[in-house]
Amino acid sequence: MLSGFLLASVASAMTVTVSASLPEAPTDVRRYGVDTSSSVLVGMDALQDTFGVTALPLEEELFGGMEHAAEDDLHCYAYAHGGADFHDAALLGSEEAIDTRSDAAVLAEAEELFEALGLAPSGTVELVAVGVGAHTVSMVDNDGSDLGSWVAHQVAVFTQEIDGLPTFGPGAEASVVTQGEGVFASFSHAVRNLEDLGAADLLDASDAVSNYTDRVGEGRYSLLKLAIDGPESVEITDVSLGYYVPGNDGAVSELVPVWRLAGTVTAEDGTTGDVLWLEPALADTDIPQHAITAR
Amino acid sequence: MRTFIILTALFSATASAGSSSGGTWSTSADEGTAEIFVDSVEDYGGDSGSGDLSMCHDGSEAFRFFMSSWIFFSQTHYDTWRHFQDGLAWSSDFEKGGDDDIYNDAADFSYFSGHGNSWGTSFHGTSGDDFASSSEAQWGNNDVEFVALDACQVLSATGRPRVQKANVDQGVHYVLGFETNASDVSTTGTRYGYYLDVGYTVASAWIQATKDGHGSWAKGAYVRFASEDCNTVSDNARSWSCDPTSDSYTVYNVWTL
Repeated sequence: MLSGFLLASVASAMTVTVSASLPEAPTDVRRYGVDTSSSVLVGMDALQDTFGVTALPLEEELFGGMEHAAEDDLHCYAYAHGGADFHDAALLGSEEAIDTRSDAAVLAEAEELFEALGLAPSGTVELVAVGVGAHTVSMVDNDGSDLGSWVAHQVAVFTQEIDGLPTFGPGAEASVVTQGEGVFASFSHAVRNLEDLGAADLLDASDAVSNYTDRVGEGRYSLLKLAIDGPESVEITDVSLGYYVPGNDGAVSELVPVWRLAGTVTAEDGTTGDVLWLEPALADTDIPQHAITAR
Repeated sequence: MRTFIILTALFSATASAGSSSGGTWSTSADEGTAEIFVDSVEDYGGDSGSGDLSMCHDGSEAFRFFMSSWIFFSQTHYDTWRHFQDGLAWSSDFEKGGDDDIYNDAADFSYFSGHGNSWGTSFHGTSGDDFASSSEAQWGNNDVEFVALDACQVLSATGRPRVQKANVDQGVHYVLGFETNASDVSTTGTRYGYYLDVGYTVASAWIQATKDGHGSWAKGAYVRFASEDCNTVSDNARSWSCDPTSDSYTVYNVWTL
């Protein structure tokens, strides 16, 4: 285990230091392909039955192929690669106050919804509760004086774990947005059927940090769109291994293991900001959703 | 100097390195013409600036594509657009003391994708001071109704009051963005355009698009301006309320992604 070292003063003016403990790469990590030959976990029939949408679904080529059933403000999406979404486009934008419920009640209702939809992942994938968020609305008058605030939605959030490892990326979480008991504004998941492709030959965390440092020298150092004037140094404070799960944007053939690097960038004037990066953990797999090629 | 070849036929477009355009651009408050303005910046000059990005052009182009195409249930057809990229995207495009009235504020829907913080949005242009501060905005006094800022923190707890103060009663309906950091993904622009195209309200389209591209570590946000006569809550790409230009109140909506 390594920690607390100056990795490099890269070709540019920026320096990269690592204060994180670098974990050993596990030896039993598997490669997982996305199996699209079997039934998806949540099909269009289940979506339509559960959310009361009777319109005929249309097949569309967008987003990797999907069925889309739309009826007034209700939209059901079932993707060929395995994810699914439901939106009530009227409720989702509502700013009306709701009577909030306990986190336990919101999470329990979401789990019941998953069960009704058939969202029951295999033993490889587990859905673990993260917590309950909110849509919070506030109002100010013409002069900017406070006129009050309230909760308009509650959001139940679950994250995927694959063989006990965390997941990263837009598809990592499944969520339910609710406006009250049994009133759903949105449901989304990107849990795929997985097939074991064999053992993964992982790059070490130190290799990942070294590759990242090279990228810093080439001009990219974060996946966050944060403006920092005159960045001088990056400190990596956390390095962890997980699987990258794309959202429901397009076809996906494999869920690739990645090293997640998190830390802080410091500018000349002392301003700091967050840094986040994903480094492929396999020498032959890219992360195209972020235009990151393997090294 | 930025130049365009103006084409007037439907579906016609032209592109050169760093820019694309379609239709006949009008700089007046022409409520009858559907216009889109886009600035996207990936080239920030490497690590001497805020660091380069990689997905801003893709997301912006997808937004423009969905808004300007007849697809599926679409009744939208924003066939007039201007899209500037990298060095041709200038901070002055969004500044009242610059060319806001002939670019951002000449459109109906405006979209920026690049770096930002709670003070405003960052550029790396061949002209301008490369930072459009929220306090330099005066949006809607010409034409624009909906400004989306696909960048970090512009609508943070300290950023929202700056946006509110600069733009209240000017006529803009929504300023959409993030309270927290935002990811360099194409999803936000792509889905925002798609959802608007299939009939979602502006609020719903932005809320869901931001959720689609992020995890619950982030928060999306919008600032909505409205008045007793002009209720903007149900605005969508096909129809929207009158412009709130007097005695406006402001709604802040912040959500877990």
